[in-house]
Amino acid sequence: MQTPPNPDSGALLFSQMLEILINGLARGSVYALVALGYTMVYGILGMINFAHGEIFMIGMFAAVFALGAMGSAGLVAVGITLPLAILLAMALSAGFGVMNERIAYRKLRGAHLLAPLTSAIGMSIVLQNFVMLSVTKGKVDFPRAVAQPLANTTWSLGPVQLTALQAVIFATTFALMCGLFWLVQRTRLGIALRAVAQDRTMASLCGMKVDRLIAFAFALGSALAAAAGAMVAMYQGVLRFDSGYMIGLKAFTAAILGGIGNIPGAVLGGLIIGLTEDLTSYTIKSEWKQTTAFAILILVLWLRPRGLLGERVADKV
Amino acid sequence: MTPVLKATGVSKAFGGLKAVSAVSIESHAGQILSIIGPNGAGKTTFFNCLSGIYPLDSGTVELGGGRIDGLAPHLVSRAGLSRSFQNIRLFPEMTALQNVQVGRFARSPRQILGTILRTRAWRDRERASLERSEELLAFVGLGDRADSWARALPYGLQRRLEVARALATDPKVLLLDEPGAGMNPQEIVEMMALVKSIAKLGVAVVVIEHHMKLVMEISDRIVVLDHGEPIAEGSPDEIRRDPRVVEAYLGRSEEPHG
Amino acid sequence: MSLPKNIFGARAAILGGLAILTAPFLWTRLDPDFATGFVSLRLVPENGIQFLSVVVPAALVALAIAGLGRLWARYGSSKPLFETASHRLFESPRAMAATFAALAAAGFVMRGKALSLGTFVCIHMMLAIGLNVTIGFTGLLVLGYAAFYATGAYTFAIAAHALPVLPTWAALPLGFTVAAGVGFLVGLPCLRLRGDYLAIVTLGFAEALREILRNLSVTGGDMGLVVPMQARIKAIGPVGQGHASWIAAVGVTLLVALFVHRLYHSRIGRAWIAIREDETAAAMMGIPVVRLKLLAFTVSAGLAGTAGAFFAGFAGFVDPSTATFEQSVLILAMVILGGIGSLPGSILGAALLYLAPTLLRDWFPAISDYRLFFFGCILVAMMLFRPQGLCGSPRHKLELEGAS
Repeated sequence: MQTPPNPDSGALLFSQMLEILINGLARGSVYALVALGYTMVYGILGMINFAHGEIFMIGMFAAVFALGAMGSAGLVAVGITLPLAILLAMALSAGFGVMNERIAYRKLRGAHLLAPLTSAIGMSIVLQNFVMLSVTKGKVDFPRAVAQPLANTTWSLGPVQLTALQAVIFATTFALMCGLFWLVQRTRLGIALRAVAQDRTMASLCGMKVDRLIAFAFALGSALAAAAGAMVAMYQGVLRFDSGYMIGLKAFTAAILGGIGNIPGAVLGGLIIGLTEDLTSYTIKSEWKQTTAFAILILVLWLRPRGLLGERVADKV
Repeated sequence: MTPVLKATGVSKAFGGLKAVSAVSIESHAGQILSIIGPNGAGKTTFFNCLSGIYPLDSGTVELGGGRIDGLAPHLVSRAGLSRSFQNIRLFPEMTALQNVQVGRFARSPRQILGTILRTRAWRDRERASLERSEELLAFVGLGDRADSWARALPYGLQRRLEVARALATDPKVLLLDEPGAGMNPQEIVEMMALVKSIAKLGVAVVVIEHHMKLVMEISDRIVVLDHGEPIAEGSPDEIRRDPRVVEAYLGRSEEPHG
Repeated sequence: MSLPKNIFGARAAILGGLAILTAPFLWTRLDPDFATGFVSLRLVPENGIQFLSVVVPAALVALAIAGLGRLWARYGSSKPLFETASHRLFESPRAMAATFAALAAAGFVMRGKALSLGTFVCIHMMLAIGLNVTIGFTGLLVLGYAAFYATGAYTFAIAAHALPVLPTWAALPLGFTVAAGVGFLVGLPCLRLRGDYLAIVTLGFAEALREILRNLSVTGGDMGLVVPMQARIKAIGPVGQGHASWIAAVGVTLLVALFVHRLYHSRIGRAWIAIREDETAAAMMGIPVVRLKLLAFTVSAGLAGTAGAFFAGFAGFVDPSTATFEQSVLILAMVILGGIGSLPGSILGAALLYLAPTLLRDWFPAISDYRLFFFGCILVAMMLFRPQGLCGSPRHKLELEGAS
């Protein structure tokens, strides 16, 4: 016997869609932040920074360390500690990113692709295991006292609830991306970065300090990843030393999707991957996430190998 | 006499830049055709079009009567067109002999099972390939350098090795891109002799060169390109006296090498 | 702040930077307070001291080994030794038979644990040799090689369940064919991609495959499958099961190496290397580049499948851990350590990189947690200081090193 159609089903569907949209965009903007790091490094050096996911993970831990330090010092106001923790995490991760480049990649510039790729994989393993050995093999909890008030504060947005946590994520990622765009498009530093990405030899002949610019690009990408890490840590509530691997793969897929080397592309790719993930976990079971991600990747590379917005890769003379 | 290689109206543009505009050449067996022109005239681009590296925007290329434009480079090679490169592109990790042997790939039949089982037939063919490669090395004067690493050879010998490798594919047409570049006068004389002896084998040779002495001495016919367009064609004497050619060179503040 | 120009200054700056960056991780402990939900940071010097007490001596040992290696390189010239020895071995059926007989007989005096270890080393040698075909000979970047290993393993396990009469030796052709087929299907769309994209795609494939293996019931989910007893390697007469496995392993490894050796020294091998060195020039010399890349990829996948099927027949079970990224990276590291493009190098690299962590676990159990950390450091150090590995030609060093 047929059940009569639910007169509210339309409204229910709409609110579910809206919820998926919000969640997907929040997830997507986090992916976008991480994807930006991949895309910037690839655009300049033509290499996949395999260790970038670990920088993200370090950002997670750094945020917790910062909060812990502040907590020990008696500083507990979330309005102060959270932004400060994110900033400190960004700073520490930027340092790791620069160090990573200096140690593992600088010497291998211009070498056959296998060399920096292997070195990057090695660094990824080193960083992961370093954190595992020096902190813990198990999980670390993000201080509830910081995350919960934000998760519990909600505002009504039509039929759905928006948590302060999600709002923070949106606000932070938006602010950071705007900052990045402003930097890259409107400052001399940004022009220098773009020059190095397009033609490294020429840039150095024009007097630009290529090494420093590359280090800066790494620092920038790492800082963004760290901010993303802090927010994901807050959202998930737990961190592990291997939290960076999966998101690294997804963010890299996002960067390719948008067009590797292309900054707006990374953002677009991240948002799309985030939305798709939330959409599919609603329709397809989440245990097929990897397979769907891989299928998407293959589809993109087949149909539009240059990505949605086109590649911008360094001219490897 | 029908030409072995016939290119008609070949054009190739990159974005707005017309690199090659309606270039037509005919190359006959046993004859040497030289393509000259100031730098940037599109000569190497033309070669890339002939060998299938760039798809043509328009025009046709026929080899032995069959169309080869639009074919992938390895199929062009199999049809009988081989080349050397402006910047030497040897396989640096191999010896001179192995470099030449690579050229024999398409002329050896497919035999995976033979390879794995090392059948008598396979061994015979390997030996034949080896002997042919040694023959070619001797032909270009590198007989005693068979086991030298390609990267370790002096520049002039590397150029000759590239020619040997190109010959290993048993080509009907051989494109030589600046075979005399960077060579001293003695090496140029030797290269001239080599190119002539290749033509004597019956191969149709097309040469891009800047060394006018080389060009004038060995060419049967010369085509002059400027800005991607053919501006003159004829025998060496005709070209030498053609005012348009002189202008194209001198107008660029370039002197023909004497 | 600019880095000091001289090399000691630069190194000091790097070490100083590392000291500062690692400080929060090394010297502190996080104390969560479950009541308030806050977390506080405690200074715990023991943490860092314990870490450094392992890492610093290990670094010193590594430096010592590197120093010895440099001395050996300067005053001895045994590097071509491996290549010529390997060449002579595989060119002479008699030498191969003798080697096989010797190793097989040695099994009588090896203890069970050594036999098992040896068998695993052989399996990884097969894997390293197989990966070398794509990465070393042809220059293709493959990061998800373990996927084909798992394919072979699961194929045999599933087939053994489906066909109770399946003989053990069928593992080899079965594993090879199915894995090669999968490799062919994956390679067909992907080999036209740029090098690093191919790497990521193979990685994605391995992850997707692992997920599929974990999700489907026919593959046993997370627990994997047990291989039925009759399909496993069994004892034969006086030769116990462990010994029989060892003999089989040695035999198959020799066959795999011979196979690859013969491919290498043929027009196919030359074409592969030509493709690696200069694709365009290779194409101009009549080499069908895409077809040969596909051949390399397929053969490579097939060899991994062989190793996987063998593993299934030997270990008696398969689980999704055969398809992890760690597994792929381990095999990659074996190839690189041994020397890209070098067949004896793969054999050597596989032996070293499989035995080292196992011995570490047995002799220094306290620091066995550090083995992955050391592994990562070795990877980085290799690419920085000896990219051509142990047996790779010094010319590979030039190819792999940076231009600047």
